[in-house]
Amino acid sequence: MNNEQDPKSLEPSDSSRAPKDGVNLPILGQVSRRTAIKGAAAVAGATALGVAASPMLKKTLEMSAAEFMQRHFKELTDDDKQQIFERLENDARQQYAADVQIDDQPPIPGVRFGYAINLSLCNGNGKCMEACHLENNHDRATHQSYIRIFEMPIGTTDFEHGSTSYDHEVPQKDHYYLPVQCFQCDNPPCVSVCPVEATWQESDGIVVVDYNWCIGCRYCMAACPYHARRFNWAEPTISAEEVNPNQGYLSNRIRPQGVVEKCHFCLHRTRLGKLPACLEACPTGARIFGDLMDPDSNIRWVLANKRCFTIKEELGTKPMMFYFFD
Amino acid sequence: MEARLATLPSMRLRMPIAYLVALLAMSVSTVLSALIVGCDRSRASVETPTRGMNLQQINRLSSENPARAEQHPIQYSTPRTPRIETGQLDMLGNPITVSCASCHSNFVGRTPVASADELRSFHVGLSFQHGSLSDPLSCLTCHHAENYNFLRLADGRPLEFHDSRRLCAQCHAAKDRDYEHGAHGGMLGYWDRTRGMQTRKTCIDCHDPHAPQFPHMRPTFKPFDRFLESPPRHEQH
Amino acid sequence: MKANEITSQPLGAAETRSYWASYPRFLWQSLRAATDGSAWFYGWMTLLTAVALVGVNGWAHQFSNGMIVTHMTDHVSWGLYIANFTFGVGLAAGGVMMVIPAYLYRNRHMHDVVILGELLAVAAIVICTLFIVVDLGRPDRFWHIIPGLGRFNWPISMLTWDVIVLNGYLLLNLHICGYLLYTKFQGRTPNKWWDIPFVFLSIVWAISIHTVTAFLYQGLGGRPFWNTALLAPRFLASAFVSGPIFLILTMLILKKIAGLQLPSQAIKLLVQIVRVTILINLLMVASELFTEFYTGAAHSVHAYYLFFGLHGHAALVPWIWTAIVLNVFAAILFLNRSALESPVWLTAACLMGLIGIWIEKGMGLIIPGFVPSTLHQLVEYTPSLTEWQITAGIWAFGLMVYSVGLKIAIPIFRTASQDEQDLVQ
Repeated sequence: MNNEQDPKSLEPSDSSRAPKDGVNLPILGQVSRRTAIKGAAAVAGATALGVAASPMLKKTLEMSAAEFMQRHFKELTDDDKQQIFERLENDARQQYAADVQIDDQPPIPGVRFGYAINLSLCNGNGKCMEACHLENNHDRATHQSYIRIFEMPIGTTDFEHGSTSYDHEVPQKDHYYLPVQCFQCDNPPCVSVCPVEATWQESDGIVVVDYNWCIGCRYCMAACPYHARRFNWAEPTISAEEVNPNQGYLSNRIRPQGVVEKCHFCLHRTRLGKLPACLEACPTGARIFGDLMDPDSNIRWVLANKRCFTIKEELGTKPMMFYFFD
Repeated sequence: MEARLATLPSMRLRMPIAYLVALLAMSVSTVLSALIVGCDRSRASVETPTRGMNLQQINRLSSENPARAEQHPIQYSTPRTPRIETGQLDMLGNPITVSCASCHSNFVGRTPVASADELRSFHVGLSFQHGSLSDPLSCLTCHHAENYNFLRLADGRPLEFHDSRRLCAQCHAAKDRDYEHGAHGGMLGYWDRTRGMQTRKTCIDCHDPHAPQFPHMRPTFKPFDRFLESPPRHEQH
Repeated sequence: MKANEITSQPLGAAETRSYWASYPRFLWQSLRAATDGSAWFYGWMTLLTAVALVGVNGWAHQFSNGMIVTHMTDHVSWGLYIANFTFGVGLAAGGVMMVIPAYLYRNRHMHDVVILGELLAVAAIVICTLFIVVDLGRPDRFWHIIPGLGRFNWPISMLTWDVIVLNGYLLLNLHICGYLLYTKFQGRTPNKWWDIPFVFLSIVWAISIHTVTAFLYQGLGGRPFWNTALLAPRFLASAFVSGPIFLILTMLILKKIAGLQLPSQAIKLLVQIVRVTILINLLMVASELFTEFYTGAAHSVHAYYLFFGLHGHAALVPWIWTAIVLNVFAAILFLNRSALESPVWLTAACLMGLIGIWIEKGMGLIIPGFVPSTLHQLVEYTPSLTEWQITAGIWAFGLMVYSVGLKIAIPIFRTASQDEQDLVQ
């Protein structure tokens, strides 16, 4: 390698080489012109980069340092949580002009939630989807909901033959209706795959998402066999008067852009002992909810006395949502 | 060319090394996978009460009733004794209604009709679709012929209107049992009655007793996802 | 180091012996080499910069407005980005196909050009990382995945394994490239303890990066299209097609444009490798397809959708048939020795193989995993303009990294090997 000539003249101030500079003046001049051009190109490049990246500015300015630095939910103290809830309430005021109360209900000890749906009763009217939409502050633009109802021809359980886009009087002859939402699996594949532990199963079986920790890689959406997870492709839209102000940090607060969300059995209600919104809304009374650990609960009676089944059990997910026909 | 020929035999000689490397890679991946499974088990981070149970196992859970706090009562919807609107208003502008008995006490002794179709003057157009064609119900199967302010049980005893669920349960015992256990009819309020009250509808809140089939509905709300095709309501194949 | 400096000074070769002085000089020299060049070089780099900036702009919009600017949906939640990521991992792993003959078989001709493969690995991993970053809904929370800072769900999540193996592979190759270049720059022979163990580790590691990336998909029970034990071997087979092909193309271009004298045996050996791997890859694809179509079970709908379309939806059909045709033609050309004598045919065969694998390992693998969805809803996916912009930008940036790497490495290597030849003579 001939490293005598080329690097020397370029190297920054080195006293030992000072005299040589004089000798190499023409070359230095040449080189510095070259360097100047390179420098100019670098400046131009950096400017172009700045211009190209400038659309980022809007979002970056919206983001607060506190939001950026926020720790994982399980690492927060009660004080931290209080501050965060206040910050989020403020954000909701500024962004959605809505006065909301954000809280966090811990799981009730010794309770394990289960859900069952009577497919003989369900007629596919979709009130549960609407109730979910309203209760959980879903994006108004996409009519988002955690529930989808499949119109299935009698004689099959293959979703291939089902449709969610039916728009006619229900129930149709020779069809049954199969609502699907998160099965709150006891062996949830979505939880295993999350690279940052942004989603986890709580002691009452509900699989929750920390919307402020999720990085939006959507691996959980690929892993979920039930299409239970939704992604916020854009900032959700919702008008101030439609906002449900009773919000849970891990449940129905208005989600930020770019994170995954899912059904949480309305934990901000159910952990206070109330029924989930989809159950209350069901005009056919097809939904049964309760504590699997309570032998006198409705859900336990159903599991013991009805021929219950669930779907995709063969994947080892151990779902906690069940179906039955009368 | 020479170089290529020269490499070939050496490649053959060194094939075992290549296999070794591949084997190593395989075993590394196997160990990794085993590790993942092992850690998955050991790291079952939340101990949920039914962890790893299936339906059968849940059903076998202890059925002894743990000491529980006092429960709030269930508030059942109670139907009132019906009154008939006359279509006239009183001096205050309220509709004038009359008791069933005000007419029906005069009709005592006349042949009871088998179906609403035979009616000419009152209750005309009452759609009556209850019971099978081979064994049709008549009005007096459920309404008490001697006192129209009461219902009639199968054994002839009168029954208050607010107790109508008992009348339904005579035939629909299975449904009534489901209802009793919250598996029919829906509810509002609290699943945990130690914390609050539960409100329940009764049979005739959803089923017209004269035509009890649950009405057909039209879905009013459809979620739509971001699909490429417009209109956005295309979720079908 | 200090001792070294002191003892070496009396020898009057302080600058070659002392790392403190020579390493910055090496870096400076590299920077100079990277920014000096012919008009061709400047033109090429300007073009790449322009495309990369278009990508940056696309991503900036995506960052602010959300992933709504892509055409991904809740049903097809991964798209062009993850498709390219998967292909990129293959390319990175494929670079090792140059390392194996060079080190395992001590093929001297490969030794001279082995740096091409290692630089390819570096550039490809950079590409992969960028594709992951642009696929994140919340890139601002990237730190959540950094072990120690955030919460790293290791060892449960395969994605954390991927983070480890990809970054490990990047570091390994950076070390190997950097060390080799630095020693060559100094005119020393590399100390084998700083070189050989890392090279052998990188060989095993190369296999692991593509295995782990395959595990990412094949471990998902809810996605039958991916849930096959053949996926990881298929990934490796295709990686060992695309990697060597990319290297052949690189050498052809360097020969043609930069007029470099590269050992022709290197290309020949790579052609031999591709000749085998391209057939293994096709065999595995055929085996997969036999299982899908002969069984005809419900899980075959994904393959039906991919190859023939389903219920009138056939967005991927042209893609996959293009890939199959290109792969088969490439295989035929690679098997035909006389055809490959001509650089034109060789280039054509390489391009066909590269594009074929790019589709097969990209759109043809990722998208059908989501169509129809887990609940058999058929929502199709075609990338949006923004997605194409960002994708092009990332490839341009990756090629910039690769070009700069080559620009630095080649003169050093050439001088070094000429010195060796002089010595031999």
